[in-house]
Amino acid sequence: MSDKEPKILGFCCNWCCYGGADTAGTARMQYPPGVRIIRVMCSGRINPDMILKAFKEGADGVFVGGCHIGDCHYDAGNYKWRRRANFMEDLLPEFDIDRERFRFEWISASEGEKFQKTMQEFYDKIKSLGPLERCH
Amino acid sequence: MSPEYLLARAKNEELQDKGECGGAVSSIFKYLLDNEIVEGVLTLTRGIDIYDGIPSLIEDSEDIIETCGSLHCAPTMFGDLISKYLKDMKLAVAVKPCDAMAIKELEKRNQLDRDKLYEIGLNCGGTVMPITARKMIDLFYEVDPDDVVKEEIDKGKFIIELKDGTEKAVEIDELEEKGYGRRGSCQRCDLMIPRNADVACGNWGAEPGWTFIEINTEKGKDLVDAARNEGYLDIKTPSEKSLTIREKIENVMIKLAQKFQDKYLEEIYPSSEDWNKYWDRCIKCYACRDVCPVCYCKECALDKEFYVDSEQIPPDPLTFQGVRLSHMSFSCINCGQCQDVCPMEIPLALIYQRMQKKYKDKTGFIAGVNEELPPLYSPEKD
Amino acid sequence: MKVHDKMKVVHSICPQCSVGCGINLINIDNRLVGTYPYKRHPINEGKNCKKGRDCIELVFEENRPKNPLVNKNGTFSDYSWEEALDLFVSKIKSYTPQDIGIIGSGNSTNEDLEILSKFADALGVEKKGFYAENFPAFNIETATLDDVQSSNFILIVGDVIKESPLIGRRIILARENGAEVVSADSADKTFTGLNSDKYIKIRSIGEFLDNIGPEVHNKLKDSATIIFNKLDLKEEFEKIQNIAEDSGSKILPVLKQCNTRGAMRFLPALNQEEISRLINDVKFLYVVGDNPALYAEESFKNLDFLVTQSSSINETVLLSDLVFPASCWVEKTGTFTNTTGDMQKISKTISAPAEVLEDQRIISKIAEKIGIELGDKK
Repeated sequence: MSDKEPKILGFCCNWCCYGGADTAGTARMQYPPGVRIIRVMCSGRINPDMILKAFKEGADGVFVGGCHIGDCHYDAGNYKWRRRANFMEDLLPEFDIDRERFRFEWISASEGEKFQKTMQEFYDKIKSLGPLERCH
Repeated sequence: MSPEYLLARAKNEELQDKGECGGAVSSIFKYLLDNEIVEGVLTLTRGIDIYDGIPSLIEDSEDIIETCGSLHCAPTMFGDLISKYLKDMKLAVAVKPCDAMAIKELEKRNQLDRDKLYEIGLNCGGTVMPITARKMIDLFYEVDPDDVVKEEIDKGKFIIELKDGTEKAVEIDELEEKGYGRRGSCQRCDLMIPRNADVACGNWGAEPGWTFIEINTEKGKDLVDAARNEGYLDIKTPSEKSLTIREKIENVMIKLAQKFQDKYLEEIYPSSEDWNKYWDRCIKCYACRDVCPVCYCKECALDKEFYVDSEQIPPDPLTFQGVRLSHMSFSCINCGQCQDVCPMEIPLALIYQRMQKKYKDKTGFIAGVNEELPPLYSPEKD
Repeated sequence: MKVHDKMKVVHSICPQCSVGCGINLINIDNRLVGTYPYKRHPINEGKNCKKGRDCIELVFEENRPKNPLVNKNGTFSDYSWEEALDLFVSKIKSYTPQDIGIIGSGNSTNEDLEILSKFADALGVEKKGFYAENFPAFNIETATLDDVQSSNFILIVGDVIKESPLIGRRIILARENGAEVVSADSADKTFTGLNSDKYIKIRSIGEFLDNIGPEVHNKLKDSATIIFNKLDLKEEFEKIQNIAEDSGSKILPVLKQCNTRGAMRFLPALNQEEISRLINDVKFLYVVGDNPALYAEESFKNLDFLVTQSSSINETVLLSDLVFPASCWVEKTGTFTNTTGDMQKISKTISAPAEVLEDQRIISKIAEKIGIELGDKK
């Protein structure tokens, strides 16, 4: 356990997960302030390079949220992301990054509560893992 | 198509005599050049000595005789030579399984025109780095490496022939236990018979003076038929015993490769502390990227400013090796070139093959063998 | 045997630094298009640094003089060889040998340097030399790369692993075999330091050498190599040599250019100060293969006439009155002596542009015109 506030980066798709974050916000559901959100048009826009870059720049955890499978605004974007996410889970441990520091989830615009819960859970997880220590 | 097996040898006596296993491969090349079916043959020729195999483009069938004989100390790669420099040419190419795998991946990415290519596959039990070969010949055979006129890998032994005609052999197991012998990637390679080429040729299971050919494609079948009809090849049917022996050799070698995979990719795989030490050595010379036969983009993510923060070395492994791994590892054919050319001796082939194995276990995709692109490229909803 | 002009893979030696790595060049229709690993080469086994793999860019025609050039009030015009040589000869004849300077280069082949040295002797020119940074000429046995790799202890001065990766590789391999590596340099940290067991930040090389403690000195007794790629003063070479002799260790000076070590046999090895003084003291300067304007531009003010023979357009070429277009390494046959003292052959792989000549031929033509003998030509 560390007292340092974890730095968490969340990529949220414009159509669903970001809407979920918004819903959580309008409903005044609290989630940890250490989570910083970047809105992207689609989870299919996220590639492994971005996740790696986020960790390199000092993120202790990286989250990606997209539409539920079947609901992608661009038809298949979240399928593409899912394939990449599965690959990422195998790659990160090769660089000694616990795969639990990386999480992806499907959250719709109406699921403010799911968003809030997911963020809290992820925050708690990262907090318990402590800051990501890298020697580079 | 279902596999078809046959034994072949050159009709031409000189090729039969000078060529490996009856010179069937040389004869096929000669047929293709003589009849202007191809404009050139890409194969290895011997450079300064037997440890020096140089990719050469032969255009005159009279010169084919010079390319005879196997060179096991030439860990070359033909895939990107074709895609970069020869893709407009009608070509026949002698391929090791890893060459054929590279060609397969490049073909799927539209980097070469498979219709212009005849791939004559050569069974491969692995290659040895030239300088390693010289050192081990000095150490284990107590022979001046310059006195060796021929080398061969057979029945688990690395055999050398000296100027005076004598032969010396040492068990490859013994050499490899002491850090010599075949390249690491070759030890861990489980594709010995290039079924991804038009035909796969070799001596396993063949009678002396004959080449065992496995036909893999219609194109390969037509080629061998035509070479026979035009009087370039003698053909006969292999016995049941031939087939059994060949299968047995292949299985033994695959088992051995799997043993090496388990050993090097799991049991004694470098720890993360080891990797941190390796990454600390990186001089960011891009040799691994530039030599990779499958990696072909003209504009590389590694050159983009958001991944490059300075010219400082070592680079951050996450956005250098990590980005490269995330682009290429699932398509890795384990040719080992990246590790061969790394000036800093980073065991790159280990991490690439390990990642491709994980990917294969999850998705079933085998780079260089499957006909489809890796599922990561798929637009489908699955 | 004829290989297709469409693609040839040929052996060469990398001209980019003094290590002498092998590199295969890919030649398509007399044009270099790429490199290919030369795994049979004992120095680097197919491994090359980025600079090495970029060596083919040295040939690109856009960047080089293709005709003799004469500078008239700041603009260069093409001359024929006949006219250019006449101009050279008429000018050089108007000076006494004391007013003539000749600067060669550690990038030239031994054969080119030999002719240049004979040319200087025939003219009676004593103000001659080549830039060797602060390295003095030496003719001692130095460590081989295999010695480096089998060392138990390696002491490094300078950022050798970064600047000469293919020597760095041997240090890395030695370390993998259990060697202890100590490196010293003036920066807060270096890449070599990162890959050493111990890094010592030093104020000056001289001071460091004078104060090598018994701890390091004792380790130098046990199959050790001292590798250094820079000196502050020429005298420090001897200091290192003495330390090595005392302790029984080997030394490996890592020189700058592909034939710096070879050039030492033909021309005096000069440092920046000495080159500047040489240029200052002469009226007519003939530069073959070097770019002294890069490190001694100040001293060019007193020159009457500057002739540069070069395969690329560089700072010195732009200051010159007369420019001779010379072929580059891959367009000629000859030898380079690398930093470990191995002489390696290079062969002509592609033809130079029509009006570009080899250094040796240009010098012989000049000598012929002046009417001097250079002795046996190779």
